Amino acid sequence: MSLARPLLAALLSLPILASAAPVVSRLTPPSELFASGAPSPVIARFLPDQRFDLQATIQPDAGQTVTSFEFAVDGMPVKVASERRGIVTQGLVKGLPENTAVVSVRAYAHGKPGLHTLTVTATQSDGQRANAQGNFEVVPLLARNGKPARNIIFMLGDGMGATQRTAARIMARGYAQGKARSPLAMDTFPVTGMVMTSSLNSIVTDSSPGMSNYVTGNKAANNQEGVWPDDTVDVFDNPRVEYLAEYLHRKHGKALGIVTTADVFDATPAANAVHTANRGHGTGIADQYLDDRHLTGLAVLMGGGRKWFLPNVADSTKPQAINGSQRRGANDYVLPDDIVAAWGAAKGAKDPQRDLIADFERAGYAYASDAGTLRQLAGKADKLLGLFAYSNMNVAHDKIGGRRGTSNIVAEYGFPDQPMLDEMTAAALDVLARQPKGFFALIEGASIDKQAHLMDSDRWILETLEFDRAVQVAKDFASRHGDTLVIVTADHECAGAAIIGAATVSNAQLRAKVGTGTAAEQRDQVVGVYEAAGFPRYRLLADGYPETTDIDRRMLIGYGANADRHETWLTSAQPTQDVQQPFVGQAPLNAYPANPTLRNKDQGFLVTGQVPGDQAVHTATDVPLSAFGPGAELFTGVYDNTDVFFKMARILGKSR
Amino acid sequence: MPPHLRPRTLLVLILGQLFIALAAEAAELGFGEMYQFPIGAHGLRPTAKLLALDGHQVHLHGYVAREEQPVSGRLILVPVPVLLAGEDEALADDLPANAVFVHWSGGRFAPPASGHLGLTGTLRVGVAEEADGRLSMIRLYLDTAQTFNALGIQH
Repeated sequence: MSLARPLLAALLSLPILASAAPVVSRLTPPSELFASGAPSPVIARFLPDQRFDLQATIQPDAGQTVTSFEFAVDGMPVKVASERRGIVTQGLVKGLPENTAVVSVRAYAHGKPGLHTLTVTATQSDGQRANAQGNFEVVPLLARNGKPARNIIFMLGDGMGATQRTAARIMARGYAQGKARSPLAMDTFPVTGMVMTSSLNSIVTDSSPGMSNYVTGNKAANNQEGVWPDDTVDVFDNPRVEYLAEYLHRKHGKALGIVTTADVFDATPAANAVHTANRGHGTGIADQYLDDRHLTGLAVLMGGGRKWFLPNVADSTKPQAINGSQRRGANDYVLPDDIVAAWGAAKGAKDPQRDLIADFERAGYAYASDAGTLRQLAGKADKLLGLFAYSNMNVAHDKIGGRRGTSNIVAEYGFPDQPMLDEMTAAALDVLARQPKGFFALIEGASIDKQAHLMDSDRWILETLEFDRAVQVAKDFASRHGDTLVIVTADHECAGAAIIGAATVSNAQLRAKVGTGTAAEQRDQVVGVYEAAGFPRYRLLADGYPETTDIDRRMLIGYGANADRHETWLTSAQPTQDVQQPFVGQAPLNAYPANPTLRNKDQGFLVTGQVPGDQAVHTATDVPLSAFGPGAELFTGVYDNTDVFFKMARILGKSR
Repeated sequence: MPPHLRPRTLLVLILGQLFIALAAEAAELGFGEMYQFPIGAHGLRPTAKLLALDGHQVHLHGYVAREEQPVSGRLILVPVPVLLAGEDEALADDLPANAVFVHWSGGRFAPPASGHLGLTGTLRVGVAEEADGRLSMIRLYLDTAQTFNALGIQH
């Protein structure tokens, strides 16, 4: 009897011959070469010696484990100390095969310009290997004619597209026979280009990659900042890419300033200093501002968000130690040892009871809790922490109303003395100007976006005005200091805002139409298009803001990325779009709106939205970027938001 | 006076008894009476009235904060109308510090997603974690029977 068939069957039953090879399911930095096999476009780009993590997800065969791994660049193995290498098999996302391993080499850097191949080879316990290839580029620091910059002031109007800028100009400057009577501060910048804003995973970005892409030179995914996606559950262990502020501080000793009208843990400010896959982890984000100041050179941090800096003392007894803290261990941070060793980052701890204000003060930061304190610190602080609100600061419309005594919103919130963004910018630059090696400053007008989401036209226009006044402060600084580049841009456009025309009726007539709830009354008899729009004329008071936004023949704004809304065209008395809140009290349930998610129902006419939900959304539209100062000429044309990073680095030069 | 009863503590006790006496029915509590305003540099400071009403029936008027992602069995009552945009903002929001988290259970109470309400319930003062991860300082537990009767809701 022949033994061939039984022998062959026995051989085929051996695992080594019956199994597939292990699989590399993710390779970081991301590359189109790995994703599709195409060598371009090159997704990951870096400055010479800019640090970034290498990472791969290895799925072994059933019953096997990953026993070793090696990264190679251009065929040369990446040799690093063992403490910078990591292999993680626990705490992975669901759906991965058993024994999947996430392997890392932390804080890699490559100094040679050019295109490079990245390969990973992983071995499983039966000796079989998996490998995959990607690529990345190191962009050379090209010389340019002209003096290098020492400082960069990066002014970001969140959600500020071309419409937002134009509407602010119409309101604040007015037009005469087609000519703007005077320009906005941002209009006076000599160079303007257009920026493509998409994120790593969508044509429509959010504010996390919207900022992160500018200051890392690399695409981040929505909701993530300073990191790439990975397959672990922990949001602070993702593979990192070095921020511009970290690079400049490490290489040149520059300082970092962060000023925002939002809660300071929000995406735009955080995406300059904190690496996380979840923009919502407030406790960990706030902590890392301080804990990693040796990496970023943080000298100024101002905005709202006091709630993250207050100790959450557990197990308190009566009277309860209520202080408004929102700190929780669940969104705090503890970093893995390989990141700590390779990046020099603080380990962290789950410490909701931490008094972060006190820790900032012990670290030498002067603390300002309101505008008055901020003024008192002028010229006296080497480092500055300003926390002016519980969460987001109140919007300009309401802050100005508080100063004029025409609104009590800021008092209702309990923060009656909040600074304006131009005042915060001046205070920040006062500190940063005294930094010995120069600085990078992020100044954000955060609520242009937030109010555009709410389709509250008057409030986002005033937010843009407030932002422009801060732009003037920055420009004046740059004019006095010839070594300062000022950039004005946005992370994305919000709401698809459009200036559709102006009202053909007076404010009193608009008010008389409230409650009619019909397009025939509130649209057809109101909206003036083309020549019927004319030139809306707003009167500014000495404080630089309109006396009122409820003028006769007011400017009208439409939205292309809108949710359903009822439009009255009138300014909301309260910081939402509801014109009036009828007192319901003990009324029976049938007095409530039939569909309570529709605002101003029975007040205004229904405008059907293109998006679900209550709010307008971001758009993928390119945004304008304006530049002033040394190197501004590099910002003409149409370019990607990641390109801005390399332009800024080139303007700063090799060492200052 | 016993040495351990300092004047400040006595004042709190006296005020507390006064408020409790007044609150034999539900006591009216305004948003401006919950914390010392303006808010302090190091956080919220509860008023004596707020602390004294802990565990007692109170009546509150306020606006329902509009939530993009509402939590079942809970709404947030605020002094001014607020829209919370969870997806794009996370907790970088416009929620005032003196927000009251209103809880109920049972019944067919379908509160409006916005609007001005007057609600009666048991006040609880102290830090607690909500289902959406927020920490609440002040909570109102509705007496659903009384609330439903007042609102004309069958339950």
